[in-house]
Parts: sequence; C-alpha cells; structure tokens
Amino acid sequence: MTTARPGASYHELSWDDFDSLALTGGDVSAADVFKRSERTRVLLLLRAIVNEVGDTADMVGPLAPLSTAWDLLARVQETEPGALYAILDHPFTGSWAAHTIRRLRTSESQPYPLWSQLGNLHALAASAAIRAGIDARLAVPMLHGTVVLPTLGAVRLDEFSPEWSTSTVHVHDAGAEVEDGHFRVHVPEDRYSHSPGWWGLRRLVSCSGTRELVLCLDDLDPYRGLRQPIQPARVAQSEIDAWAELLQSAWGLVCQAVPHIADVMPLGLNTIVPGPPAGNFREVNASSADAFGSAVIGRPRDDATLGAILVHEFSHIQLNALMHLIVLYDDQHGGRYHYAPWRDDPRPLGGILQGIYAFAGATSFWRGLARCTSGPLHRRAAFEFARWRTASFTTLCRAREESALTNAGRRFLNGVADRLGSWQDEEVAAETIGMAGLAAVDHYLGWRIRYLRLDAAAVLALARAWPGKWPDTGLDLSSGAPVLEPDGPWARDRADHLRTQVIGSGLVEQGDNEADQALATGSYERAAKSYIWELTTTPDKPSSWAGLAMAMRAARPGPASELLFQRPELVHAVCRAIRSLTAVPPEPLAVAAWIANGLALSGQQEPN
Amino acid sequence: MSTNEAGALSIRSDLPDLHGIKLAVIRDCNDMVLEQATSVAVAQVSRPLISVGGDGGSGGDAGGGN
Repeated sequence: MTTARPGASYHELSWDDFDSLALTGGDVSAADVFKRSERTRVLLLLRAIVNEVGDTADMVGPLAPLSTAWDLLARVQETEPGALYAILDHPFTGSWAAHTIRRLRTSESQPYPLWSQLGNLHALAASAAIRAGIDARLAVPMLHGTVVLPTLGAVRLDEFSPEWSTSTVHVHDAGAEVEDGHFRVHVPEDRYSHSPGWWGLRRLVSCSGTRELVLCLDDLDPYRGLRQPIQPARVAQSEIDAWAELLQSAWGLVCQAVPHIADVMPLGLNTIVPGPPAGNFREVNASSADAFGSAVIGRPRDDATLGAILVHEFSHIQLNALMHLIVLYDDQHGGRYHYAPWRDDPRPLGGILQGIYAFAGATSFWRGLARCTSGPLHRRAAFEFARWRTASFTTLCRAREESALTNAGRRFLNGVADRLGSWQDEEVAAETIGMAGLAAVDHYLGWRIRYLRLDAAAVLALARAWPGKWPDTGLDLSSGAPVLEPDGPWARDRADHLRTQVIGSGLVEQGDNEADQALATGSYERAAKSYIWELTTTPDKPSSWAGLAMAMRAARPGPASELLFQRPELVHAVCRAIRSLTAVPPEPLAVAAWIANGLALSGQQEPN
Repeated sequence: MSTNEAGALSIRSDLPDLHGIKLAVIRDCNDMVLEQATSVAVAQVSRPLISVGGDGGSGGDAGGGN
C-alpha cells in the first residue's frame, strides 16, 4: 500500500499514444510524456545518490558535502526552474547518475577517484547557478586544469596542474568566473562562443522548411561516453563544419522522407556525441537508456546514411524511455539468445526488441527516401528498404512467439508488425529484391556457421564413417541453441558488393574479391569455384562457406547444395572433423552429397 | 504509467510527476511513493537494459549496435 503525496500527479501515457508509437514510430504526445518522465527519473537518481552518500566527508574529498550542491540546485529551482530543468534534461546528467549509482555498488577499481565523480553534482549545480544567474560560490573538480560545466562548456585554467584538483566557480551579479588560485577565466555570456580559456559547447541548427533540429555536439562532458568517464576531447572546427553541412542535408532528407518522425524528433534528440568518422556501410552508433536524448554517432560519409542513423537512434531513445515506464518483456525469463539480422552475434530478447523497433524506424526512412529520389540514391534507398523490411519483419514474427513478452510487449510488437507488414508487398525492382535477399541470406548463413554447434560425438562418428557406409546408429545432428563465442570472424565485404551492384558506381568503392564479385554479378559457377579455392587455403573461413552455399544452390541445385544451404554448419563441422582425422581437407561438395544421401537413406528428416 | 484496462499493462512504476516539487522537499521526504519510485529507478540503472553498442546500425549491415 503506498501513500501518495497530497496533490502529487503521475505521468500518464494513453493507450492511443502507446499504440501510435508502435504504429508510426513517433508520437508528439508520447514524446512529451517521455521528456517529463525522464526528467523525473533523473531527479530520483540524484536523490538516491545524495541520500546514499549523505554528508560523508571522506567520499567527497576536497569538495563540500553533496548537500551543498543539492541545496544550490533547490535554490535554482526556486528562482529559475528552467535552469534546473536544463540540467535535468541534459543527457549526461542521467548517464552520470547511472554510472555513479553502479559505482557505489561495486568494488571494481575505476580510473577516476570517487570524489571527482561525485563532484560532478557540484559541477551540475554550478552550471545551473550560472544559467539562473544566482549568487553562488562552489568548488568543483578539475582534471588537468580543465573544468567541465555541463550544458555550458569547459574552462581551461592550467594544463600543467595535477591530474585531479579543484577550482572554484563564482557566480555573481556581473557574471561567472572559474578560478584555481593562480588563474581566472570569465564564463562568456555567449556560452557557445570560443575564447581564450573557454571551450563553448557546440550547437548546430539544421532547418528544412519550418522544421528545425537543434543539436549539441558534445565533446566535453565526461559522461558522454557509453562506459567509463572520458576526458574532454575537443573536436577540430573543420570536423564540426563537416558535421554542420552533413546534418543540414540529412535533416532535409528526414523531413522529406518521414515528415511525421521529423515532427517528433526535436523533442527526443538533442545531443550527438561525435565518434570517429565511419567508413561506407560501417557505421557504429549507439544510444544508452541512461542518457535520454543523445546518441554517439561516427560521422558517416553521406547524408542519407546520417538521416537513417538519426531516425534509428531516435527510435532507440523513444523505446528506452517507454521501457523505463512499462515492462515489455520479463528479463528474468531464461535469457535465450536469438538471431538478429543487424548484428553478427546472437542477441537477448531485449536487444531484439530494440533492433526491431530501431530498424523499423530506419526502414521507414529508406522507404520514404526511395519514393522521393531517383538515380543512385533511389537505388540505395530501395535496397535498404528491401533489405530491412524483410529482416525486421521476420525477426519480429519470431520474437512475437516469445513467452517472455508481457501483454504490453505483445501489443507493442503487434503494432510494429502492422507497420512493417504493410510494406512487405510494396513494389521494388526485382534485381534490388534479389540482391537484398542475397545479403540477408549471406548474413544468416554466416551466423549459423559461426554460432550453431553440433554434438561433437555425432560429428566425429560421421567423420570416421566418411566416405563409406552411413552410420547405423541414430545420430543427433540437430544444431542446438546458439553459443556466444563465434567460430571464426565475419567479413561484410560481400554485402558491400551486393549494394554496389545495385547502386552502381559513384557511392561506394569496389572491393577486389573475385568470388564475391562473381556472386554479385550472377556468375554462380565461377563464384562457387572461387569459394572452393578459398577453402583450400582457409578451410574454416565462414564467409567462404556461406558464399559457397549461396553459389552452389544457384549453380547446381540438388540435394547436396540444398543441404549445404540449409545446414552449412553441419557440412563445415564434418569437413573439419575429417580434416583433423586424415590431415587431408575433403571436398566440401562431396561431403555435402554424402551427408544428404545418408540422411535420405536413413530416413532422417533434415534436422534444422 | 497509468492504465485504464486492468491487467492489460504491466506497470513498472507509478512514476510521480515531480515537476514543481522542490528538490529541498524531496530530499527530506520519506513518502513511500517516492521511495518506491526511487528504488525502481535505481534498479533500472543498476542493470542496464541495453548492452553498449546496442542493437543498432541503421542499414549497411553495421554490426556492433542494437
């Protein structure tokens, strides 16, 4: 039984908003709820930290007790609530709080001293006071002479100062200064500016018609990363300029392709942490449930890719906020792992749900882009649309069978299924569908080879019997649940070839793998021979096995090639066992034919 | 999260809307609602829902993310 505070209200999300999130990928009303509920969540985390640490002096080292910072935040709220909310809405206030709570519960050594981490609350309070313009004087942590004031920028006092020390933030009628006893830097009124001793937070404004996306590119906040605290790392102005140009163009594409999501995105995405520039089709981006409103993004090479990334990460952000309020699945339910077409490794149900929703968002972007473009960009968009509408939908259909889903989780997936399902039969050029299908199969076969294992005794029995009589004893040749350690590396070069084949020249560089090029251009017999040749020198290479399976099925259909296509992990495992017994690598197709024949003679169904 | 369909939604927490409540008041508050909501929020971050790198990518077979 709980006792509500008199007059307390609760965050509410209507069923209509809930369903709209699933059906459309973005909802203004839901985004508004999330903005406020995430603010509350962060506030609760701050409260938990302050309560847990209390006024224990040895935990905060040279700083004032946490209650001093807390009282300053309370003063800011009384005077200028908006200044406090800017701090609570800052994505890395949430990630700092989450990281700190985890740290307070572990004895693992950390790169930063605890007092410096707890002192981020002092820095947050100082930033709030500067924003509110209220008198304050507070010591804050300083790393190598740099003081980060979250949401504002960083003051650089003395780079030769010790690794960790303190400085004092003084806010008064005439402005704010930071000083360490030797140096003093005035915090400029235009906090986005750059001046001696001051790194302002970079802010980029992208406009398309009446729509505006305002994003901070945060290269300063110590809690902007996904794991440990990291030092400020100023990004060069030339890189910021490149971001500005790319964002402007990408935002235009988002507004054009998915205007309904563009209407919501500014409510849920406000910060990008620039990662290392990405290569073609090699984007690595991430968002964390701890840091609502932000994403780590490596600058991609083209605007369409960035548009897809923005929609994708925004989808993660919305789903994270939803999952803070509602249980979509029981995460205590055994932790089974599944195939995820967007990842090389098996994923738990939580990751699968995230991927489905984020890829449904990205797919909607590619769909919209394909409809309003022509030439190479249209072909690229059509390829990605064809690739991910199927991958997301089939993954969703499998996930829907999971008993760990709650009623809400099932209802949510049903909504996403309605969206994805309606796209499955939309017209796309046959060649594009073919290439997208090959890319999907390629990835799945590679996954099977790398993560599915067979019973070792059964495989050994087959290897000993090869090439003679099929063993009489019943063998369990089923592939069990995926393991988490891969059997060999995976390369995505072939997927690049397939894309390149569809897109045409101009966007991507051609690789030089003869087998992959042959497969992408439909020369299946030549591709098969090349993959067989590859396997003579690298007999366990997963991508060669997957390529051979695809090429053989197209070039020489029959029981052997079908088995190789359906169960590449089985043929590979037996080939490897034969090789270890005889020191001679067997011919893969001969082994596949022998197994297919043996299974047929013994009346065994092809186990899957 | 509130629900109008009993049992249809599994509710993780009745998250109080703290907008307008002074931080100084929250600090000294032992209201069970806040205690319960705080423990839920703490539990959520104690076991992050998404592994870093997530289930991402945005196309291009980009691995490494959710």
